[in-house]
Amino acid sequence: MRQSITPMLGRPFESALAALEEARAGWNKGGPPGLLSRAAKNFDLAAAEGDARAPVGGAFARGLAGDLESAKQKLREHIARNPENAAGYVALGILGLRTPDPLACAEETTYALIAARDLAPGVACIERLLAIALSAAGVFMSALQSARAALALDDTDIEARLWSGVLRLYFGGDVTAAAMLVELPNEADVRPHCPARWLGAAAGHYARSEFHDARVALRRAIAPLKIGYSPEAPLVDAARRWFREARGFGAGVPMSSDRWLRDVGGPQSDYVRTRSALAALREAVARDVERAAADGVAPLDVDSVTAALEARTRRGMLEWGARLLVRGFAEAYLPLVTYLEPPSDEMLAAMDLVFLDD
Amino acid sequence: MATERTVQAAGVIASCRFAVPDRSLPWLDPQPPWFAVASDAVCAGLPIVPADVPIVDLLSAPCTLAEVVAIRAGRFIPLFGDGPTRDEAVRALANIARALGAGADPRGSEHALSLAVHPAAGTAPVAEVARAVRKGSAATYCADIALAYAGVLGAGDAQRELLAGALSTVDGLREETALAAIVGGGDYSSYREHYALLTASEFAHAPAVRTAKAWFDFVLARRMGAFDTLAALGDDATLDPASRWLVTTAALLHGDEAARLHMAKFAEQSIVGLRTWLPRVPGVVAREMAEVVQHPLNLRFGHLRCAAARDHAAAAIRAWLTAATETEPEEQEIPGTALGPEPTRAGRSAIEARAAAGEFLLDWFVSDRDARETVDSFARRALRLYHRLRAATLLARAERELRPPGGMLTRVERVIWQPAVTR
Repeated sequence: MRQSITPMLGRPFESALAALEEARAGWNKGGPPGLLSRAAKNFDLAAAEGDARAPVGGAFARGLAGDLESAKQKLREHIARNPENAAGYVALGILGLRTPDPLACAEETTYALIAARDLAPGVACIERLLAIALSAAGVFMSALQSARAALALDDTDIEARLWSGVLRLYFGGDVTAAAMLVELPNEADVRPHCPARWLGAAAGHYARSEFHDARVALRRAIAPLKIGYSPEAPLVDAARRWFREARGFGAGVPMSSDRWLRDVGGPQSDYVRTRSALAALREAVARDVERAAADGVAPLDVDSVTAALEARTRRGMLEWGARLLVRGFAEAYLPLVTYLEPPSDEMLAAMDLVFLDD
Repeated sequence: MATERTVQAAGVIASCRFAVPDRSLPWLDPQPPWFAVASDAVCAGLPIVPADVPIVDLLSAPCTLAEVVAIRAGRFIPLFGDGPTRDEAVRALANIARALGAGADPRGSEHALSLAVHPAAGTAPVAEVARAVRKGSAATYCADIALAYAGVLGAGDAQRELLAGALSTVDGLREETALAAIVGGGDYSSYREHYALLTASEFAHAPAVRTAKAWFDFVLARRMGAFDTLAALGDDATLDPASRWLVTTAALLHGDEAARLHMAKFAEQSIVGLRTWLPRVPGVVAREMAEVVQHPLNLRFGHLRCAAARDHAAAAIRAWLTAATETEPEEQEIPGTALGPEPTRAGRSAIEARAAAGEFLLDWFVSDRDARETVDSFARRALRLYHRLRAATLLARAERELRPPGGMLTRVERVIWQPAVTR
């Protein structure tokens, strides 16, 4: 068994942070439970001494150790006692994103992070986390705005760029985002990031019809996981399932002309038939203007309905694509990152546990 | 069985006739509810005292004030109130004749409909008709008349459903009662619930029910594919005229210029058996049909506005998920690690959200209020007329069976058949 090397510092809060730091340093497909437990205990001692930051740290360490329900309950109680403190909301948001099923608690996570952003505006980490939570909750426009805000605060934020790219590709219908997603893991590899970012590259490659590269990217994303190892099987399957659905979605974006008719259901679809019926009505109205006027129908009215039909359907297509693939991406990607990567320094700083030097 | 006699009682209008009750019928024991004395409140401010309120079994044309007060006070013999007999069937026809015959009261239909169900007896008399027909102790025309009564007089959804529900156990009439109960929804904007019942109906494969369901699909759910089904069903000459009329209303909505002519033709076929003894029916049907077909371009435009408001993009999600299940040749699965066919949680929730909310509701609900109201009003009027036409066919059949071969007519029979004899 690995021995702890946490130095016995003077104050419980410092000891707790040291244990947490060591757990993060030794993160290997999860943190060492003993260290996280020690951190939680020390945070509890610090809280007993009256340290206002310690309850959040204690709950967070418990959550990292796997006791998510208890940790969330403690955070909710802390928030009830200190509603003006952003740290509790941030911790609740981070733990919400680190649950095995982030879609299930996406609403609570979103609300917590919105509250955190309101209390602590201008924090890149919170904006980025909020973009992820909003994506998981299916609120894509706000998610895109948050991702952009995070990038405006820190243009080197790989994670924000990843989510911005995924949202632009699937929700915005912007195929140029594929190039950025493809390049992103190479930049990420320079820094100590986990290979899960390759999942975004898989999306980018598939959108660019680079099917072989997309499969390679998928394999790289799940490379640290052992195929056939049952504890890791849900993570591998989630990534493969998402990729399968990305494959069903197809290359390009739904706006492209070759895909458009197929995606709305073909020539016998209600969309095509409604549009044809509107065209026929337009002709009938133009043919017999007096009768149409008596019935209260003008050609321009028909034109506007036709245009609205097309615009609404195109927008709806992107909305449904995002519901399937952006939320699916969150479902596959977030547990992978949680498993492979410890919480970042920025997250600890956003919870008021540490200060970051520029 | 009830024995009839005319009773001349002090304070009761001379023409009022009622039967000595058959005590085996539960609502008649110990005393029929229509014997209850009218309260002062219903006579308040009117030139009539409670003691003068008659018991109505047959409406006058036009209705007297005393009869209107009697109906309001519950002093009337409801439909088959004296049991499932031929006399009661004739009385029901006579009341319809008074409501829709020559010289009928302008509100005759409303008064006649009030006689359908007594507030104290409920639908027990009609349920007794169903029981007697099932047992064979009453003729099937009794059930036909009980069902057609509401339809031909233009009853609302609730009253039609009430009577149809009481008659739903009559074997030969089950499909007809199902249609009467299910095809509706305009009065309370409950099209979604009615559509769900249509889909789950045990007669879902019967042509008339399929027609109604396809009509709901096309008109109310704006599914254009359903018009093909309707057109195919409408070409079937064995389909009843009322259903074919319903198909032509959909054709009108689809822009068929000849639909109005066809509508008139099928309506004519449906009511042909009532022309002689219910001379106002063609006029009523013509007036209601004029309301249905007025401003066809505006109606068509409203329907297309509703259709355009549908979430057409939702079709894509199924297409993508279907495409996702197709395996690619170059994809090599590691043995023992094959993925199951189930989608991701995101994919599942994208499909299930629509199913949970009810696809019909989502399709039916449109934000364009004017367009929705145009189509809903059209649907409400069309369905009411549809039931009138269905009921007309049933009623014509029952009238043929009840028609006396000749000889003396009773007082009630004269209301129905005397005009024809005179002519």
